[in-house]
Amino acid sequence: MTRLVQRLGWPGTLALAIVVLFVAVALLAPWIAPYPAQGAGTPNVLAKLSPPSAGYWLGTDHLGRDILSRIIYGTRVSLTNGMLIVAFSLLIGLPVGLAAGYFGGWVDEALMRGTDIFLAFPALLLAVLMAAALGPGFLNSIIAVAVTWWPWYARLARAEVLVLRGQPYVEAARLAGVSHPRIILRHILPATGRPLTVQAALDVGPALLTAAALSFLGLGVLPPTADWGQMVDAGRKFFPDRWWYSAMPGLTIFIVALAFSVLGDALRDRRQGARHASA
Amino acid sequence: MSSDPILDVDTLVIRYRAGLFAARPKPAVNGASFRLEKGETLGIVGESGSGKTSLLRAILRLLPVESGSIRLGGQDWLALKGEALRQHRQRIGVVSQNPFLSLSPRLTIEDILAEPMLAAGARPGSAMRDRIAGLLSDCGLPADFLGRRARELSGGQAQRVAIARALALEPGLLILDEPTSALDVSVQAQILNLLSDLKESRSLSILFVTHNLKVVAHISDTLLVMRRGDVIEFGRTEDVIHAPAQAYTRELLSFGRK
Amino acid sequence: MPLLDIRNLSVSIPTPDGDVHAVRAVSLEIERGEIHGVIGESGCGKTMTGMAVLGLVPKGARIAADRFHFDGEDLSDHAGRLRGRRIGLISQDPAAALNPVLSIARQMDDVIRAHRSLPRKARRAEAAALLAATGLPDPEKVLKSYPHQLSGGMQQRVVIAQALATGADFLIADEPTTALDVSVGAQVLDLLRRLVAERGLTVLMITHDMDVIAEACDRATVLYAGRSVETGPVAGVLKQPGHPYTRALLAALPDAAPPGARLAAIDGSIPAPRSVITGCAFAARCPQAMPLCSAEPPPERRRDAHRWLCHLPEDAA
Repeated sequence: MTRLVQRLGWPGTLALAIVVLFVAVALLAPWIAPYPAQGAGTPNVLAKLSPPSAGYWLGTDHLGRDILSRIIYGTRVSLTNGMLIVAFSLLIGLPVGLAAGYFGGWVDEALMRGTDIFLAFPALLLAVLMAAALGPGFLNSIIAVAVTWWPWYARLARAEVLVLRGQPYVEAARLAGVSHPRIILRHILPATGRPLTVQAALDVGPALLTAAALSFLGLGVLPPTADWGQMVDAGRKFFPDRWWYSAMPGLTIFIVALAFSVLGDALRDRRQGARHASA
Repeated sequence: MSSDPILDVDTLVIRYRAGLFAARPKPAVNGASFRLEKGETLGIVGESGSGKTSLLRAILRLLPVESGSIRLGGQDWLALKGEALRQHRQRIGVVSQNPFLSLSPRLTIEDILAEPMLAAGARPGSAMRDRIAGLLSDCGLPADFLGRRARELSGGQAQRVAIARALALEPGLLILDEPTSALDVSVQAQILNLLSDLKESRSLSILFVTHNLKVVAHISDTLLVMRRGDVIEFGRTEDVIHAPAQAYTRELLSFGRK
Repeated sequence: MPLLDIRNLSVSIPTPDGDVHAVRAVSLEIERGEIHGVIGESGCGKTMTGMAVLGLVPKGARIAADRFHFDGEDLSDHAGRLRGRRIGLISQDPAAALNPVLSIARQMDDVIRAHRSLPRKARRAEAAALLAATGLPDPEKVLKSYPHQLSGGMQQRVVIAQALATGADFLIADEPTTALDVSVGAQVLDLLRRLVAERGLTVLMITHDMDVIAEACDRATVLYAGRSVETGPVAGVLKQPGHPYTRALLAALPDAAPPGARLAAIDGSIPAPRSVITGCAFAARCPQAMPLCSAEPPPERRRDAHRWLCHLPEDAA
């Protein structure tokens, strides 16, 4: 335990705890939620818009559903959202960056100019435009965000590959007659893959935030599926009298996104710190 | 000599491109010509800016050549491209200065030695394992090194692995770029002895590039001295050492002999 | 009294896997006006000895010595105080010693200001004078330049000028010519010899290259596995070495053997830095070793000013 704190610092360890909790809740939702049926969407109109109480810890929404249960079920959607966005972005970005960095020349130019076009737009705006064009829905919102995210991974991958391509041991492999595909497979890909997957894992937080923003705008998951962003949007009508409806999911989004961010910083500091120590 | 020289370089010119509006720069290599006969060692000596590195990289086909020719075993080496070039690279084994940079940090020694063989189409199996074991022992390394990684080795041991890798495909020509410059004197002696043993047992021709005239004078049959892109000496080692044509060569030889 | 007087210096660095004995027992006596070479292969502790004198050992390292004096002052607790005042450092890579984004004039000015209070014009003149003293033909041009615009030899001269600007009278040169071409390195060594003669400097020259010792040093000390094993005037050490390691090292040089013949390599390898050594450190590799050598530390042998540690009698060399 102390070793963990040593490596990540107190904020980092706390952030890690929150992230682990987040994943655990997502996996165990049906067994943790006090009112699983309501979490999944079943109305409970008698208790509608009740404030936080012993029976409903975080209050209920406009259909009387327990907000805590809804938030717990919403964790599943958020986690899946975040992971799929990141996975899709990697799937597109990694090969693009790899090709651009390894082959250079006009391949690099063409791919990077293509990437630049996407990067020229503010990410959220582009995501909203894409989502509006594709229409609401779970898969559509993921595609909309992935389309705006892949350029970052392409850039990251390209930078890593450029460094690796210049390494003497890669040159030595060329001189020994090893072919390009083999070099990419044995030398470039494993070394590029690691920093990229670490980055991707930490990007789940921001991805989730972006997805929540889309749902807030009505462009994401459709009701009755529980989704934090959508809940914040639905609760706006009742704000500030029944403040718990928007505030609780909003607070959850804030805490989880912040936790990923702090964890990312802690891990980055540790990696850089380690680099300084061994220099 | 009835057979072709293993390496025949004729009036090679290498020039780096300057910016768009700059004047044409002086060539990095200004019309170099020399031959390496089969079974001999040619030492190429020069300081920084002499052009020896450019010359070496051109021979390794890592740099474009402005004019001139390079023949490898009688064949036009510069004409080869793409897949044909990749396959013919088997005929040359290359050892660089810093083994910790030229050996992949992530692969085991066994993987490092297997890589050229696999690239040339060999199949993994007991035959390949035997070949790898043979390479290790020929280069004076114990068999239990197979599972280790480069960073666990000393400088001399790592360089032996690099030499073993260079010999994996049984090339006729071994090219070494400052192979002992980063090593201690006693380790250098071991490596130079190893190279001389391998040369004999495998009938190698050796191209040895260095800035250290003393080392090269000891092991080379022929010697080539470069300065600022020009070849200022080329001949049998004993001729160049005892009767250097240039004052520059004399100066290099005299350092350390008060 | 020697300017630098070290007897049995040891530097140990604690690590999770045990102490690393970077320096085990090094003794050095350097007289004023001398260029003293310290020679050894990697792992012998030569750089760490220099760092100990400068007060630049790693944090947590333990330094102990029977005697560790500079100009009569005890260096044991505060070697760092003399750094930049009387002791200067010239290290291997001149490009790394100079800030790439500052002009030479600015860097020289920083050093001069730290040591003298002169008005700006006078400082500039002083900088130019120091650069001229290091043999740079056009000091004004160099002052206006940035480090990357200068060749390696010129950069090293600038570093030497900076050391002179501090008013240091003792320079530690750690492999000053290793990163330079042979001819350029020879010029730098000539420069150091000239500065020693003209300004009464003293130089500790750390190197692995016998040629540097032969070219530039008056006396030399040979280090092996963290111990000084031989010391004396250069001519004696190089032509009639007393210690078997020195002999083996000289015999392993390429020009020690006839062309084409096998070189006399030394079997084995240096003792591990964490190991504890009883007796002579070289015993395991010495062709003349006796059982006594591994058991007992070797005594000192002398021939005039030439001293070394060995169980073999003086005339066995």
